[in-house]
Amino acid sequence: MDIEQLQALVTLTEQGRLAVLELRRPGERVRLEGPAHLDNRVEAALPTVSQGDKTAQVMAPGFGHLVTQHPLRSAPFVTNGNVVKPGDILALIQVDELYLPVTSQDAGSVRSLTAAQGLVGYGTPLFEIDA
Amino acid sequence: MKPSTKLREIPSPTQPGSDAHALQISLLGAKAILFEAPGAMDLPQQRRIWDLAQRLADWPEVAEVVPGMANLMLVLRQPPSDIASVEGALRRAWEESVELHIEGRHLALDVIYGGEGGPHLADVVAHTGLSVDDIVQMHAAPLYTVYALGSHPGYCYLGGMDPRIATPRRKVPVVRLPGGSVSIGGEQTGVSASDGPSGWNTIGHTQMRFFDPRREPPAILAPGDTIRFNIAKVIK
Amino acid sequence: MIEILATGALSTVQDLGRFGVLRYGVGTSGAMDDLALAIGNILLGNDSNAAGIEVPILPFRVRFTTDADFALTGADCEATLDGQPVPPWWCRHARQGQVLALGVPRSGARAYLSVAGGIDVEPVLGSRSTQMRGNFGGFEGRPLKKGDALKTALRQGELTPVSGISSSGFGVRPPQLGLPLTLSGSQEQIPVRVLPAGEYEGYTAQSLEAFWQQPWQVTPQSDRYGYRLEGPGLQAARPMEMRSHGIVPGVIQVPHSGQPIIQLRDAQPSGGYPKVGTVIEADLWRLGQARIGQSLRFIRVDHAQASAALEEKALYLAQLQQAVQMQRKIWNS
Repeated sequence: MDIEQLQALVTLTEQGRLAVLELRRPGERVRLEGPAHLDNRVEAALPTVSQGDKTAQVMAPGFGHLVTQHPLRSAPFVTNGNVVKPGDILALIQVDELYLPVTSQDAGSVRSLTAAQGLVGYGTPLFEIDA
Repeated sequence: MKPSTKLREIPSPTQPGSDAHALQISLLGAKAILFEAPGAMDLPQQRRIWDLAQRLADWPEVAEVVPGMANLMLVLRQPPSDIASVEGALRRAWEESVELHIEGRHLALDVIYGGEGGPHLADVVAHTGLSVDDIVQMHAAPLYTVYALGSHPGYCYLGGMDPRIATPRRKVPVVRLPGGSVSIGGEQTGVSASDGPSGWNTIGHTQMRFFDPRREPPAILAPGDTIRFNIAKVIK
Repeated sequence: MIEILATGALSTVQDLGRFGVLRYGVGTSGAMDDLALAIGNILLGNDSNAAGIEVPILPFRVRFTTDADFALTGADCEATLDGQPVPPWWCRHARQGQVLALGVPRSGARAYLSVAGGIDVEPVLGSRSTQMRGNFGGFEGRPLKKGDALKTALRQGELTPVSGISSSGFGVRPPQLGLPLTLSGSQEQIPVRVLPAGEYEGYTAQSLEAFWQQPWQVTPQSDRYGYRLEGPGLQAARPMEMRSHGIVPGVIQVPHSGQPIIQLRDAQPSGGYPKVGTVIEADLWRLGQARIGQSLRFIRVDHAQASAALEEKALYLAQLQQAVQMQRKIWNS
């Protein structure tokens, strides 16, 4: 975990949007406790290092609700097998009234890693791009 | 008389069969209030409207006061929390208003009546039963006072027209009349300041610049100014 | 800098309106969907009254002749930037030379293009809105046409990237969802709240019941000046001849035909027709997105409710602004 990621989590905690956040990795444990009025518990996986150069993962850029189809549109941003380019928006993370893009950094065929439409944590793997 | 505790959104209708307008205060949305003076739409009443406008302009909650023909619209900065008290204060201000005599400027305008610039002169003839010459004479005779501005930038609502040449507004407005059009709508007359649509009956044309957005104030004429129409030509 | 590559007839530069000059006969002008313009400015960190471009007729295409941050709000026009899709209610960075194309909207009537710093045109009588009658304000007092070049008010070196994450930008939930107004049983109809006006009781009880219960269709003779509606027709119970008086956008006038006209941003600032009601200021933006052929439904409210609606709208915008500012801080820290 780098200092910027930690700063983002601290800010979210201060804003009261996180009640408790605990991150574990061999040799590392980070626990943040925010105001006690929230009841959300989210398991956030730390970003994994890409093992090969054929598959890239796309992670949630923040904590919020995963939105796979814009409410004004009739189709999801992407479906499995779509070919995407760097910069293409694959989904949105909703934080209150804001939408943050989940963007592909790579070109290739996209596959969704999660069927859930609920809360996701910062760094949760959401898509894989096969080059 | 007991003051009202709640502004009636819907004011009492005027007496049926009566020609006289009653005093009426009504809402235009949450931030604008229309005050309509009772009685005739004449110069003494309009002078009281000018006085009322001046008083209201000093109220800190007022964004703008817009005089009309024997009425005025009050635009507030915020929706008032106690609208009944605003109504009460407005009534009191009207009761205290006196005729405000304004030393205005005087303007003489040369008008070409009829022809291409006066396409609806025939409709005024048809409605009133008067001849073109009579209508033109009656229109050009009075000293008109600018009662208020409105309708479009620089446009002056004039008071003083002879009621004998009153002609109702047109059922189908004209899409584009040139600026400088001299028209009759109901009992009122006016000169358009720019090209645009109009539901009034256009009887003539004049050349005059009524508005300059870079001037302060941008309108050339103001309430209290006077206009006289000179008959430059009558085209039949 | 923005160069207009293609536009329909009535794209104009607008801010939130020109105020304080009704008494000179100068109407309000300003964005028909003022909420969309306000949200575009919030996304970009602009002054709340920065001017943008209102685009009522699509398609529409512009080229960014310098790097620029822009926002697209209002009607969803399936926009693309150099072919890459831009979601609705969104802001992002554009590089010099990129082309933004807006298509025909699937819903809504007007799109708004805002830029960081706002469109740079000289304010006239305190506003950058285009005053069509009289031809002043906005861009040379007229609608935009192909070849026009518009400047943004940012000085060189003041460009700030919109997003610290990627050039994909970010957006907001559409206000139809954030500030919903629904009427049970009306799917395709647009409800708006109306406060009865001075001549309300001059209409027959039957007409008034129909006024509230029935849909009113927006006819093709509808534009920034006003929306001419078609519906059951309002019948006067007594003759009403009005004296010319000041009006504001939203006033619903009833000419002899009985078919009402909602006076809007470019309407005359005064009128002489009887008025049945006023669409509340807080809902004018909903009218701005009503398409020709769509139907409106009127919901009766009183003064307290009309005021509360304005407060709710202001609170919504304030909260949105706070959320956007906080998000920018996170990215830029």
